[in-house]
Amino acid sequence: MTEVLDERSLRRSSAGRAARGLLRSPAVVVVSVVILLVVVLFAAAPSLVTSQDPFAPDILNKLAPPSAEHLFGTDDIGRDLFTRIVYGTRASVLAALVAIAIAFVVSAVIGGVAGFFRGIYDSVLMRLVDLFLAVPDMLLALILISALGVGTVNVAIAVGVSMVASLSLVMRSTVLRVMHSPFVEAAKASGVRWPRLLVRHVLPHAAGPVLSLLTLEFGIAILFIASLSFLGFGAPLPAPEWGNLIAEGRNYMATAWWMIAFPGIVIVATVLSANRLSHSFSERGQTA
Amino acid sequence: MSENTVVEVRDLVVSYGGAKGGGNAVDGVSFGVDRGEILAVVGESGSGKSTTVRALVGLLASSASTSGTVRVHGTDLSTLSERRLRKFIGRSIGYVPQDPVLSLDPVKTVGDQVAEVFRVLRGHDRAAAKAAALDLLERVAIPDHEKRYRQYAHELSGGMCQRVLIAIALASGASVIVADEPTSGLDVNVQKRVLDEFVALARENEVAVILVTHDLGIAGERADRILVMSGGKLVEEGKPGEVLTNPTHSYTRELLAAIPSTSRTPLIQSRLDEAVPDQDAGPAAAIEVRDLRKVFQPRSGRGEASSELVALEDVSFSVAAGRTLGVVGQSGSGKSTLSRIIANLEHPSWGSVRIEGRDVHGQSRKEQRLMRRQVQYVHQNPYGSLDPRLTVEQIIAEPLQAFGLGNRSEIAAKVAVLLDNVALPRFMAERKPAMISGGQRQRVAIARALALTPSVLVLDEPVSALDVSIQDRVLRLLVDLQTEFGLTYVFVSHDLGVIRLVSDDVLVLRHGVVVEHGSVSQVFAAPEHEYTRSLLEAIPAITKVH
Repeated sequence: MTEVLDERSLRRSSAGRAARGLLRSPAVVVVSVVILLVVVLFAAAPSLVTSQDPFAPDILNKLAPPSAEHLFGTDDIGRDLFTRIVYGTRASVLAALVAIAIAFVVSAVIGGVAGFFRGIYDSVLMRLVDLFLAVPDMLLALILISALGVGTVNVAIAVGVSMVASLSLVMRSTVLRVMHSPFVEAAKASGVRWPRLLVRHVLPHAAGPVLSLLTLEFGIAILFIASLSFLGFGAPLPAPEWGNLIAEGRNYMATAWWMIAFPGIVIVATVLSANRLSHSFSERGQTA
Repeated sequence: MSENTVVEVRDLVVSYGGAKGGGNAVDGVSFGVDRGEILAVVGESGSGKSTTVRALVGLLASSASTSGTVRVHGTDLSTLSERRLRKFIGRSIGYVPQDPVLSLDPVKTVGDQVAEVFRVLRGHDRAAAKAAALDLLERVAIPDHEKRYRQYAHELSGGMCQRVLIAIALASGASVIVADEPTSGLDVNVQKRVLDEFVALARENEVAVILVTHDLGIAGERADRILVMSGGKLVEEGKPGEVLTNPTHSYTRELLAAIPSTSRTPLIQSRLDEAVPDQDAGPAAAIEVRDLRKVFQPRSGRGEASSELVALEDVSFSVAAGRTLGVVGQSGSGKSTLSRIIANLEHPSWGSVRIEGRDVHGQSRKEQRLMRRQVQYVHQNPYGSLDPRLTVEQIIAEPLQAFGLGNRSEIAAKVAVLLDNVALPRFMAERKPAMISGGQRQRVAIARALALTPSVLVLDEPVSALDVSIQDRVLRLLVDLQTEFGLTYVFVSHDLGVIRLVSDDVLVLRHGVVVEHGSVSQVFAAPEHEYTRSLLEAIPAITKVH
């Protein structure tokens, strides 16, 4: 009896181990990096990747399935889907970068001040953060957009602000952990004043974990922005964005699967790659 | 090999990281262990002792490559597949790890963890496993074992956790138990008790024990045979009597000489001989502590009446300038809290600390900061107290920069002098903490503390993280620096042997209360309090070697 159980649990755990091993394998990390580099290339120089025009209709070829000429097929007025995805990358990635930049700066200040000075600053800031945490992120972003108006930049700001609360908590706890390390205490005992303590000892050590988190947040921001763009809060059509491409494709789901499948795959691949890369950063951080 | 041999190791070589030029971690080690024998493997960190035993239990890092044969009950381990190997080792070799609290599963009761071994390895059913586990917990001398069975690791003390781990090792029914520094994290008193019980139990069950330790005293008192390792090689082997009284290898002799045993001459002997300190006529008190009290208020979740934790209770003493006060006690005795209050890293709840007549805590922030130039603090752990991102030079220069003592080149010159003071070569200035050894790190920490030319140095277990021979060198350095700069030391340690080597006076703390305070010669010759006596007995007695 125990023997059987033993065997089964052994097999299960070895399957799990194989899956984990695959995810940790350098090949997966390399693939992730390649995917992200391709995305960056799309964003930086779309005209290098495709020679077609993202806005030029070709009514004769509308809703054409994927072929050599149209890699990802065409949409309802015959625009090349691959080209539209490539041109949509810039708006989506830039928006995500702006969002995490906002989230990082604001949360670094909030979490840093709360963790470093403690006391009343900590209490007030953390209660504020709690307040924001109580509102679902999506709802918060929607509220902000209805105040700011639609548009890619506004979506980025809304997403950035809605990520601040949870990032602040991470920032604070990282700073707190560093503050408790003996070398910070040793510096205090040496008579080092607080600005120097913060700049020289606390921030450099808090930066590492936060950076790996930011990579993860990049993936989340992409997803978030695509969702808002899908709902129609991003750039107005016909400007392409990953999210609104899917929204367009929704109407033709039954006849033209590629219109929603390819933008979806691109989003999923980007998010997963960012996720994987973030994990490998934090694993490296632990072993280093 | 004889009938009785349970473990046989032949030409074991372990190296890390492939063809790196760093040499082998274990270099051609051969030995055997007989049934029921207690074998001690002794050596300093980096000697390869842990690597050797980890090779036995299959716990080497995946980057390690090994050669040589290990036979357990005549079976060559290299002939087994990985899965069979794990099972075979699980049944034939018990393992007691170093860190008791981290080695237990935090979400299972300790009793279940012992019972699990009976179920998995011996095929007991639930009830039988529980009964066997309860019986075993009683045998490893866990008081109230029926209640403890249902508790979790965090509810038990370190000593209790280590007993549970010993029970787990015994439960497998293995004929060999490998214990890797099983008690190094425990207090001396507890250490002695747990080890004695463990060895007695092993003898009773005819289980062979391979005890890895850096402490020759521990090895000498319990083992049947001692192996001394250095640089991955076996340098000496023999019965404790032979090895300890008549060591053939120079390394063993060095190790023995460095042990702070009671037979050694104190490092400050010349000062002790000089004059019998007269309390009234002696030099002015550098440190005066009055009615010191520290109470911690643990946060309680659900509005329960929070019980106060008294860390220090009415502690009063004074230390004359240029002398050393040794503060001893077990963990939780409040000795660290006391040192931190003196160094103004914590505030007292009551009472005062005066250094050269000035109240440490009762001043403005600005004055408190200025006081740091007089009182400096050296942390216990040189691995944590140096910022890993900075170079040695930047670390030592930090206090000088903080107080604006000189321009760039003046500070660089001072750092060079400080490195000389702590006997570190000047080229070390460029290195980062990760690139220097533990002893060198502690020297850097001492240099940093000296940078502000303080008059008082508070040392919290400054040598307890170091190997004995390095410990000895750092202690000598501290004594030299004291004479050179006329420093006053507060020296906190759990190790009375170390205290005796460097202190003029001793303060014994227990549960935050001073139970004994007097000169070293008084306290060591005629301890008044029972607690002091038990601490003294726990110092491993090693006969004088010459």
